[in-house]
Amino acid sequence: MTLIFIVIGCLLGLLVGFLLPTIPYSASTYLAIAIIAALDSVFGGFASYVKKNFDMKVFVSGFFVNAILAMLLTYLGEKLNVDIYLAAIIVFVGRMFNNLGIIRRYFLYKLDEKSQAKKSSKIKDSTTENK
Amino acid sequence: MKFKIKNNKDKMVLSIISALLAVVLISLSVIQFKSVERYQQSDVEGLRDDELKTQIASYQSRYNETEEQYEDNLNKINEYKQTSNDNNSTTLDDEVSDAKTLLGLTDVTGKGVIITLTDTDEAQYTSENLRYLVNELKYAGAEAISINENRIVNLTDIVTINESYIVIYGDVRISSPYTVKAIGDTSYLTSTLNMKNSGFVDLMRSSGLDINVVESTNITIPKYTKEFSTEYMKEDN
Repeated sequence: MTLIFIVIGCLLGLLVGFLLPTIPYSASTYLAIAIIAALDSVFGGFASYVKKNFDMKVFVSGFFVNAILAMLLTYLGEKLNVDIYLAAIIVFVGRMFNNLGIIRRYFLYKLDEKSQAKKSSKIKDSTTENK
Repeated sequence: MKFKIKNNKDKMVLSIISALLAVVLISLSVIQFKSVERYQQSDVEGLRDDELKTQIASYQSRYNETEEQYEDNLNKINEYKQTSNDNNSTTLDDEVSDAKTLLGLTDVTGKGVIITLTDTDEAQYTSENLRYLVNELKYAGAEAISINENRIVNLTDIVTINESYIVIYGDVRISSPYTVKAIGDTSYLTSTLNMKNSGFVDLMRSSGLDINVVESTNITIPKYTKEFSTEYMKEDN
């Protein structure tokens, strides 16, 4: 059910995005960093779901607070004439890969388990046939 | 049962929140994609720093080139101006005024002869006489001729209308006494006119007409006042 809701949300998001106007170029950096932060939160949430320690509050707060914080840092960086958003991107993307690794390993483990189960069942079958 | 409902509720909340987050994330991404795409298409404002730098550099070199060309052209123009100040325009002006003088479009002065022709009771001057006189004067090297202050130019016609009066330029009526002025070498003019027997003076006098030739060092002949209009002839290129 959650998956269906997410798919519906994605489609709705596409529609809303196409309806809304484009933003000025100077603001696109902020939006980009916010999107990266949000994506990081999504992967983090998925990874924690896989690790069975998923918390809705942590996920939602991380989603928004990270995005806003990243935007504020970008603004500060612009004022200081230092590209702080690069640091934010490095951190977020690094964490994304980290979380992706966790998810990947989880699925690999699952796949391994399945094939193991199949093998064991097959062995069982063959032994019964032999008998 | 109760636990299950609670679990379902939790799942519902989770699903709705996830959907909302998906909406936010995807819509923001789409906006960003659109914006980036637009700025990649549009110029300058959407360009990255290094692209802008290269563009500025190319524009700068182009600007320098153009400025050099501009200076070259400016120098050329100055040269032309100087040379034209030196001679071109003055020679052109000279040519124009020369052509005007030759055509008879300017008042001219000089030495020459004044011939006065007066009808007598015995005979009257005809247009043929006047044409003959003009031709004689031209033969004698007259540079400018006028009859009764009417300049004789290359298109001038002298004709008799109804055998009674003489018309010049087709519509200017002239009558005796005729004052013919001619600028040229006075000695040539007088000697041509005064040739024994065949000269114009003798011919007229033998016909019983009155003619008087006076040399003058300062004759003013007025300019041709009418328009030169050509209808059929065109410049052949």
